[in-house]
Formats: sequence, structure tokens, C-alpha cells
Amino acid sequence: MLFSPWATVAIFFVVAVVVALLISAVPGIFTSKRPNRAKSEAYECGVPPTSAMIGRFPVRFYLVAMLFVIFDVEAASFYPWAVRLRDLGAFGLMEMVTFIVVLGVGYAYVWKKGGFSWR
Amino acid sequence: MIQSVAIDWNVIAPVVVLVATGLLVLVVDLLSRSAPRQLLYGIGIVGSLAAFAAMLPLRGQELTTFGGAFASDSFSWPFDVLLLLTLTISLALSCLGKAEDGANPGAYAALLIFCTIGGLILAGATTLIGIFLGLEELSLALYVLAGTGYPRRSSQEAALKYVLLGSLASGFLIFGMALLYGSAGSISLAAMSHAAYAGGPLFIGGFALFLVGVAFKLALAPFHLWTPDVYEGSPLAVTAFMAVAVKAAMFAVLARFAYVVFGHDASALVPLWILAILSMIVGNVGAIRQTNLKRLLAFSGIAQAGYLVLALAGVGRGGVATLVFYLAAYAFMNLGAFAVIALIGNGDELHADLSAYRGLAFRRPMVAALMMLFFLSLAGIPATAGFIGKVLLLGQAMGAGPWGVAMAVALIVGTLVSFYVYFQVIWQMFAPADAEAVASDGNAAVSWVAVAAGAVGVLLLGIVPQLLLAHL
Amino acid sequence: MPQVPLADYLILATVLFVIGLVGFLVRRNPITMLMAIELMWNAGNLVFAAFARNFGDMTGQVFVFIVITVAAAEAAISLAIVVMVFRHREDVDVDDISVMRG
Repeated sequence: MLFSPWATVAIFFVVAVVVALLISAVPGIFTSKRPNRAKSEAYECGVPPTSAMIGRFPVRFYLVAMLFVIFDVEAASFYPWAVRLRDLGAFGLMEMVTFIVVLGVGYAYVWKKGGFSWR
Repeated sequence: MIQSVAIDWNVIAPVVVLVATGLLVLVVDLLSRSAPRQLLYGIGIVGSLAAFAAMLPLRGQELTTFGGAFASDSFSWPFDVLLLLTLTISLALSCLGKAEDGANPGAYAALLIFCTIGGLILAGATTLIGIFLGLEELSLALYVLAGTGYPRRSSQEAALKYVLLGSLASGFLIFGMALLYGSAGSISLAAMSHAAYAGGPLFIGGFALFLVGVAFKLALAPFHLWTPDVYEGSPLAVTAFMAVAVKAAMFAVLARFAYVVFGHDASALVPLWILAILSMIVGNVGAIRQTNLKRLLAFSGIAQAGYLVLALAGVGRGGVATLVFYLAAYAFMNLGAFAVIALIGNGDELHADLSAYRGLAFRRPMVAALMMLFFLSLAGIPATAGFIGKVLLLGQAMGAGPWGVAMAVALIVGTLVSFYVYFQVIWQMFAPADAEAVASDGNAAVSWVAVAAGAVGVLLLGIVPQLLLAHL
Repeated sequence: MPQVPLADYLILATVLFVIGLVGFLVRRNPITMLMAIELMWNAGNLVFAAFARNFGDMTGQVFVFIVITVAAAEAAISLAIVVMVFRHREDVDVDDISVMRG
């Protein structure tokens, strides 16, 4: 073998960097710059910006993100179980019911205590 | 190719009972508008006793389930009893009027119960997955519990420090476990003993990282830096639980690991002996200048963790019996001391300060006498549980080669230093009281029960140790 | 495509682990420190997965799965604690958090 198998990866990496640099650099060289107010505003999909761009997100966004992560991982543990559902039979079903009951009690508790409310 | 997994429900009955109790506490808290927290903690105590009842038929049996991944044997049984005892007393102390629970008694009680479940899993785990899951269940619940006194800044600090350093320790543990898995080709501890026999860099590296993780959780020096702050900041009942339950569960793991993996040759455990000697020095010297009893007991706990390692010295015969005896003694004297702090202040945090004890012997002679008993036992004065425990530890260490002797010397020197520490506390109680002394008039029945349990344990183990030793 | 040798995985995992450890030690923002810790956990995961593939054994992959689940719970709890501390003060920097002598 002439090249190490990693040579393809290295070539790909070099090409990726070169292309990315070229694409960023070429327009900067050939375009003319006529900035105006509308152009230098932050891009908000055409809607006029409503607030300063440099600001902090309220912590409640983090709560939503955290809830997503937790339930995402809970859901992920269903997949391996679902794949082998037939083989696991009644035992598997019982395991999953236990899992869901425990999860459900926790879910109900958080809900009742206001953990999901937008405040 | 799925092997059918048969579950022996008897083996996991204590765990199942505790899980049901934890869920029940949450549901009761949900359904009743204004359940008094004593009701919720009462349910927890009943559940803890029920779990103990479920454990009774398991005594003296060697059973495994989950394909051998979880065991209930003569090894895990005593540790399980200690864990349930600690849970019961912590819940009892949480009932006190001024005890902090983050204004959320249902979650608080459930978390304490889930912690204990983690401990039970740790004590019974025979694979790395079991150890990891048990440890994380124990730790994650404790991170939250450390912060349940959150209007206090020190409690917030405790939670943050605990979660950061605890997760760091878990990082070491996972990496170590991964290397151990690589060296043995299996996650069962039994398979690891072959890898230990063969040695090799994978196994050595894995064991070293695993040991760092365990030492963090056990608060062995030099991985003890979080301990004083976390103990001081956490609510009193949580600190009591932390001090005893975490040590019991982690020592169950360490002992099982030592006996299963290094049963044939303990020479690779030298780093553990060095950690033990360091802990005895750091714990006892660090305790000297403390003016807060929770901090003082934290440093004392570091030293006691060092003493407890002596039981494993040389992985000799009788090591587990010695370990369990000293752990029981440690549990009784620590829970007793924490119960006294909770008793006189009705569960508040002010009485963790040493100055609150000035003149206590004149104001509350009975309470002062009991506090003195617990501190004499911590110091290891004859006729207390601590004395018999230290004698057993010395006997264990003396038969374990040069490192055993080195540890025995460290234990004796450490004990001499610790006399100064513990007698300082006793001295405070006999000093003339200040004019502005805090009122120490708590007298709740439930805390008296906890204090009495500790005192009876310390005296019984100190005067008739055969009661326990005959069964180990 | 030839298999990547096991040693390469171990080297990469070790590098990740050390980066995480150094990140934990030099940074003073708890969120960054938690990210560094997460890197260390995942270094362990990588070793598990590499060995599982090497042995042709599923246990290591199951372990990875469990570690990821626990890591999510751990992230939720640790970030909740950071938020709790944050709500009681202006800025969160572990050096400022020292009511107690540490």
C-alpha cells in the first residue's frame, strides 16, 4: 500500500480547510463595501430586532432544555427494549412497567410542584 | 440469544420495599394538601423498618440474582443493616422543629430513601455496573440533599462543591472502570481477579483511577478537601447520614473489591495503605483548630476512614468482621453525637458551633454526659465501642506485614493527637457558661430516641462486644 | 477500510481525559468546570466502547448507555444547583464562594 489508510482522511481535512478559507476570503477581496444602517443591523429573518443582541437568556430556557435532555435520555432507553421486545416477553414488559411507574410518579410530583410552569 | 433473566425477589426485597416507600412518600405528599412533614418522615421510618424485616430471612444466606450481578450474602448483610439504621435515625432527626428540609418534605424524605437504595445496591453489587449505578444513585441524591438548607449560603456552597468534586471523582471512577473492563474482558469482579493476577499496565492504571474515585467518595486524604465544607454546610440530619451511610456503602465496595479481586495477593493495595496513613494524619491534625462541631466531625471522619482501612490490611482473615465492628461503632458514636447536636437545638444549625456547648454540663448534665460518652468513644477510651474497635483494628494490622505495622503506628499516634481534639469538646462543656449562651432547651422525644440508640450501641459494643462479634 | 487500532482509541481517550482534568483545574466558572467533567466521563465511555468492539462484547456498550443516562441526570442536578446558587448572588465563580474557610 502506497499511502497509509489515514492519508485519505488527511487529504480530506486539508481540502476542507482550504476550501473554507477560500470561500471566506474571496468575496472579501472582490466585493465593494457600502454599509448602511439596515445592512449592519443584526439579521433576525427580516423582522426588526426587538432587543439588544448581547444579553442573557432567562434561566427558564435552561429549565426547558434540561427537561428535554432528561426525557430524551429516558426515551432512549426504550429503544433497546423495543428491539428485543418479543424475546424479552413478559419479563421485559414487567421491567418496562416498573420503569414507567417510577418515572410517572416523579413526573407527577414535578408537575404538581410547578416544575413545568413557565415562570 | 437472550438468556432468560430470572429474578429472585427475596434477594432484592429490601430494595423493592424501599423503592415502594420512596414512591409512597412522594404520592402522599402529592395527594394531601398539607401533610405534616412528620407524617412523611414517619412513612419513611416505617418503610425502613419494613426493609429491615425483609432482610431478616436473608441473614446467613449466600444468594445472587440478576445473573449473579447482585448479591445478598454474609458480606453485604451487615452493611445493609447499618444503612437502614442510618436512614431511620436521619429521618427521625429530620422530624425536629427547626430541622431544615428545603420546605419540600416529600422530596427530602424520598431523596434520603433513594440514597439508601443506592447504598444497598453498592453493598450488593458484584459487577462494575452495579457499583457505578449504586454510587451514582447515592451521590446524585446527596448532592441535592446537601443544598436543602439553601437559604443559608453555606448550604448552597456545600451543594456546589459537592456536586463539582463528586462528579470529578465519578469521572476518575468511570475511566478506571473502563480500563479494568479492558484488562479483564468482563465487568464482573470475579473475572477481574484473573486480571489482577496477570497484572499489566491496563489493570494497574484502571485500579489506580478506580481507587482515586473511591478515595474521593470516602474522603481519604489527600482527596478529602471537600469534606469539611460539605459537612458544615449540609443540614444536620443530612450530614449525619452522609457521615455514616456513605462510608458504610463505600467500604462495602472497597472490601468486596479487595477480597474478591486481591484475595490471593494484597501487595497491589499499597497505595490504599498510604492513603490510610495520610488520612489518619490529616484528619486528626486538621480537627485540632475546628470550632464547628460538624467540621470537627468531618475531620474526625477522615481520620476514622483511615482507621477503617486498617481492617482490610493484608486482606486477612477476620478483616470484614473487624471492618463491620468498627463501622458499627463509628455509626453509633457519630449518629449519637449528631443526635445530641440536634436534641439540644431542636434540629437547628446554631448548635453546631462549639461555643454553644460552654457550660452545658451545668445546664443539661444528662445531655452533656451522653455527649461526653460519644466523644470518649470517638477518642477510643476503654469501655466504649471505639476502644474495642481500635483494639480489633490493631490486631488486624499487626498481622499484615510492614505496611500493617506502619498503619498501626499511625493509628496510635493519631489517637494520641485526637485525645486533644475530643477532650477540647468535653472541656468546653465544663467551662463556665457565657452570659449570652444560646438557649439549649430542645427536648423532643424523637431525638431522645436517637440519642438513646447511639448510647446503647456504644455501651453495648464497648462492654459486651461478643454480642456483635459472635455473629460476624 | 482497515480497523482503527485499539491503542489509538486509548490514546485519544487519555488525551480527552487529561483535557477535561486540566479544564476542571484551571477554569473557575462552574458551568465550564461541569463541561470539563463531562469530557472526562465521555473519555471513559470511549474506552468502554473501544474495548467492547475489540472484544465483540456488548457489555461495554451497555455500560456506555448507562453512563450517558446517569450523565444526563447528573447534568440536570448540577446545573440546577448552579442556578440555585446563581439566583442568590450576582455572579458564580468558585473563588467567590467561600463563606466557609476551605
